[in-house]
Amino acid sequence: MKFVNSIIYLCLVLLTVSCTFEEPNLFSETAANRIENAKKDYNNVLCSSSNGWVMDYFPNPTTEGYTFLVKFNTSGAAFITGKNKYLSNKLTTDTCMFQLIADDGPVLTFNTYGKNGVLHLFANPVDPAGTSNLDGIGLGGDYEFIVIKATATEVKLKGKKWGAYVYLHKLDDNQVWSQYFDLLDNMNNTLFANSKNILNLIVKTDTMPSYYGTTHIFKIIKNGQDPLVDGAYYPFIITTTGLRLYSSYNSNNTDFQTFVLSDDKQKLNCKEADGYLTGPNPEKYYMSSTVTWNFLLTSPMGTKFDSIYQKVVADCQSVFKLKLSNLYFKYNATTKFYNLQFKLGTIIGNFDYVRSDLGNNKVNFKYNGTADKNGLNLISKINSSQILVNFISQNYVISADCGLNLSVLKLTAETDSTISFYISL
Amino acid sequence: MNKTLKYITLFVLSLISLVACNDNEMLGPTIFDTVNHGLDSSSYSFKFDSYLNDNYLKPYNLYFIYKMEDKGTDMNYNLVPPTFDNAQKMAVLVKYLWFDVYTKIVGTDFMKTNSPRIIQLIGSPAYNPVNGTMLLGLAEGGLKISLFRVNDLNTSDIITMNEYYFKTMHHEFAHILHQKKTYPKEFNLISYANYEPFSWQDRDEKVAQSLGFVSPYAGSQTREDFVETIANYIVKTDAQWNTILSNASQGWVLSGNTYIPTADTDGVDGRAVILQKLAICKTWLNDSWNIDLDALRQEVQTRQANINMNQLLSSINNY
Repeated sequence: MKFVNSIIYLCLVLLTVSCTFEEPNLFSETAANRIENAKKDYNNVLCSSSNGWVMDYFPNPTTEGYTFLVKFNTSGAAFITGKNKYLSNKLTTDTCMFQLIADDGPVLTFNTYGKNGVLHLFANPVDPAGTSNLDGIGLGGDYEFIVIKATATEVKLKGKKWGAYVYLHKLDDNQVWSQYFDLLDNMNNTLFANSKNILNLIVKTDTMPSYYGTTHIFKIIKNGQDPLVDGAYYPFIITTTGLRLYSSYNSNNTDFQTFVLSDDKQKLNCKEADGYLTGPNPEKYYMSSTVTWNFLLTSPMGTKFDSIYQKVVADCQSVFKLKLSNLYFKYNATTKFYNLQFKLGTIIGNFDYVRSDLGNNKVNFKYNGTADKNGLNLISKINSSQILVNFISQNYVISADCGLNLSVLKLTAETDSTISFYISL
Repeated sequence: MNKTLKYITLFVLSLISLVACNDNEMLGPTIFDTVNHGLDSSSYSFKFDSYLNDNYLKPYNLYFIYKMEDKGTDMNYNLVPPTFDNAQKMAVLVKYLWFDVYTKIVGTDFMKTNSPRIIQLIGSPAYNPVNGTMLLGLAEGGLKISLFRVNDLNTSDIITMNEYYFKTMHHEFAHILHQKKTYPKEFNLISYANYEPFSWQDRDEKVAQSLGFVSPYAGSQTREDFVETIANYIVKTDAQWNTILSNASQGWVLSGNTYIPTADTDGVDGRAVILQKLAICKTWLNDSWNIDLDALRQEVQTRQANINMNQLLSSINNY
């Protein structure tokens, strides 16, 4: 009886499953037809942009991003332009072939090497000139991309071998390609040229130091972490409006990825959430530095300062037949004075100041009344130089035209805005 | 009763198993595009593709692949495509220095029968970081030859071209030939004690020649020795070949960074060994394939001394 029961149960099971016929088709067409159609559709999308696409290219998820402009032609040729350190920062154009192929799904492949290697140099196993690494990895980038999604204005790709997500954004019809790279250069210079300061990611009351911005790979330290051993790396790409992290930074379940420079250039505001990147307080930053600051004598100065400076220059030329070429702020570790240093021809002289932090973005320079031999000689022969030295001896409000890059600071006399000048690292 | 039930149940189960899934449909038409669309005259590569069609595909049933397909390569390597310009140069040179030579010396049917069915161009070398070597060529099953480093092609430097490509080409083709008709086993015995399969790259060229190998790679294993002997003999000029034989006839010792001549103490008469191997190669090629290696070499030497790239490329540009 036991056997009979077992058989009956088995029959019941078989009756329920054995005649399960094929499920109705989930797709209206076969896989082969669907991929062929996808290839044609994606090809049409790529060729549809009359002025091409902005390609936000990350070779792989751990390296900085590079911008290319790409125009896909129906002939199968792709015209690519780039400008980056591997191209000696020169605007470089290139032509290669492209194709949509059926591979790991529809794949966009740039299947001949451009003459100038603008895109392919990132995939080349040969390291760029100047390095001798023969590990066969090169810059670890892709030239073949799985098409994840394509619309008329944006295409999302994924590197086939190295797996980085790459976006194509439709370029405005009227955008001149070379000027687009000028915009990127300007943004990069604004944010990072000569910059030595870290940035801070501010989210509500949290401040996360973000190091190494000039490498285009932030190291972001969360609250309480040790910058020497903790932190995570966030590669980013410069955009015409700011920068975009390759992968979003998450803080308290909120993602931060795209940052746009504010109109006053003091912050990079996050598009996705309430938070921003900014630089350190200029006054604190300046007071903590003991490096030499150059007067930017070609940048706009306040009218009164400019007037007396020009007088000194003219007097020096007249009396010494020498050009006053540079002024510096320089800390003298021996005398402990903060020097105003001048360079007259090849002659260098120093005036002794005491620098003090007044708080609230203010600093004070107090002339000590002393100078070295060349300084004393200058004052004795050129009256205007004494006026200049005294001009500098007062309270200044310190600010930065770009609050994210403190390599250039502006000093404005607290009581007279016509006395102002720029200093730079 | 139990027995009867048992049989009835088994009978019913058998019926179920026979009929339950009998829902096969007739096969429909193929889901793949079988239409031959031909070449698109508006394509960027139309002229070149037409050339390849007429000079490789039609006469030899050979796909000359220059648009990189990484699925056709070893995915463990990082490789890039060739440039369009260099692919064209390589296509006309391969025909001029290989296909046309064999056709002239051996006959029109030889290459149709024995040429690979695929030649694939790769722009970069394939690095082996573990042992510090790189692949210059690859022959797979007699059907496919891959030529690497095409982006380094310099048509004004025949020595480098031979080293990177054309020696490789003859090397790989010799592999194809001996995979079809094996070479004499006596060849394997000549230098059997001196092969270094894993550290051949550490042996200097002159030292290898002194041991009876035309190149360090020839000293890796017997079949590489065999094809290296043929390939080097074909592409090397008389002066280069004589240098090999001269190097082979003496010993070498490292002095500073260079090897200098010394008494030959390796116990091998390198020159005699190389010539012995060459004689076997010549006989085998003649007997097995009706190929006169000296005539073949002479034709290659004449052609490689008179390469006119503009003229060769005009065969593409004239489409």
